[in-house]
Amino acid sequence: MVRNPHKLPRVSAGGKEASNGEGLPRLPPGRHGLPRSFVVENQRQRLAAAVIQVVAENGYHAATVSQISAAAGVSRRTFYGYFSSKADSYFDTFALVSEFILEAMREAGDAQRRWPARVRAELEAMLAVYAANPDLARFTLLVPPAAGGEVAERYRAFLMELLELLSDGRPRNVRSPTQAAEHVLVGGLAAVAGGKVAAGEGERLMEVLPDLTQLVLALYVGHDRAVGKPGLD
Amino acid sequence: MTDLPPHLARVPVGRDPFPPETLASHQRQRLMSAATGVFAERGYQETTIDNIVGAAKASVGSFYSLFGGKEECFLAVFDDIVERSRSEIIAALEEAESWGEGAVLGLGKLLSLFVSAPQAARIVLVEAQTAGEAATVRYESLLDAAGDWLRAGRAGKPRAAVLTPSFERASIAGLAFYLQQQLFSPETDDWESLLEETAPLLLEPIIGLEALTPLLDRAVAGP
Repeated sequence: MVRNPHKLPRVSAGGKEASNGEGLPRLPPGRHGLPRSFVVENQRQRLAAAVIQVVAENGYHAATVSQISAAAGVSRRTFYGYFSSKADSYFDTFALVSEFILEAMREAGDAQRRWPARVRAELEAMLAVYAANPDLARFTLLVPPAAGGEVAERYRAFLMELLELLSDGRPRNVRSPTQAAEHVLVGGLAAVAGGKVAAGEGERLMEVLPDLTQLVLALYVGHDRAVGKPGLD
Repeated sequence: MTDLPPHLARVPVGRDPFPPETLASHQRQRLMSAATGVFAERGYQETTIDNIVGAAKASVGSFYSLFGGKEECFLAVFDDIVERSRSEIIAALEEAESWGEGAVLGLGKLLSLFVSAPQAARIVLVEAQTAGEAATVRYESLLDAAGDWLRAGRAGKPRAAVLTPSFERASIAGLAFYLQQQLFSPETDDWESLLEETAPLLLEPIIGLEALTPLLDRAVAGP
């Protein structure tokens, strides 16, 4: 079960069947295992869930404070009690979400001793979160490049955080990749994972786990050595 | 004979005035050239038609006689840049004797275009993703086509057998991401450095370092 230090609120799975009678997004069962208790009371978390849902469905520019407030079941006035603007709510929520994902990955990786298995576990945790919550995938991978500006900039920073996490714990004898190589790798990771969600195949994201694992390892040890690492099948 | 618009009125007119088609195509080029600059500087979202016609010193009427709206203008600019780049890249790899040599020459030409035309690069690599669905589809198709080209390199290369199915998609999207990053925080303005950085990532897994190194040396040394 994944710990939830930042108390990430529930997000809808695809936005179709997600809402219960009160308009709160409902989290599907899954390995992330967020407890039900915290969501109901806390307005701020409902707002974060609403930001994710509304932005994932409409993109950043088309999303409005009215839509977000309505999805959270609060008034616009309540919204502005927490955030100064749509942008403010977006970046606040993005920070929450990205940290949730990175933490899930870290925790999964820490359970492994050897680096290749660690990389695989970290990627698996990431794909598990996205497979269970396509809105999170849309929110973090698909929406930002389309939004441009500071939104895309924050996304690029997130990808670099992902990379740092994945390369953490590698043995000292593996080569340090160039910056170009790192960018190509992490841009490719996002495209492969995001592409699956964009194609409506988000629930099959685990299918690309072996691919992504090999791509990450290949960055450091080359493709020949990245293939057929023990415990990677 | 129709009256010439004021900005052409001083041009001496001989027995054959500019035919309407010439004027229209000249007008189109001016608007598209101006639009490229405006879209690149302001971003698609923030650009207005007034910005474009202002930069082109054209009238709103002339804009609408050529384009249905901002999106259509953007798509025309995108298509034009891609088509011209494609021609140059194809020309660059015409003399290649192997897929690998063509790949290095083609990538080199792409990067030299990238460096010499940053506004055009921004249109294709950055703004196209923010300019609505039709533009996004074009952007994705471009990456797909590049991926297909890269995949063709696997034929007859035993070392490529270990590569994952996602290798081409990840490499092309990754290259695009890296180039986007270069647009925002440029590290270099010479295409040779970019080629030396990126060619190994895309091509070494397919053709190997031994084959790649002499090709790279020749490409950066020039004719």
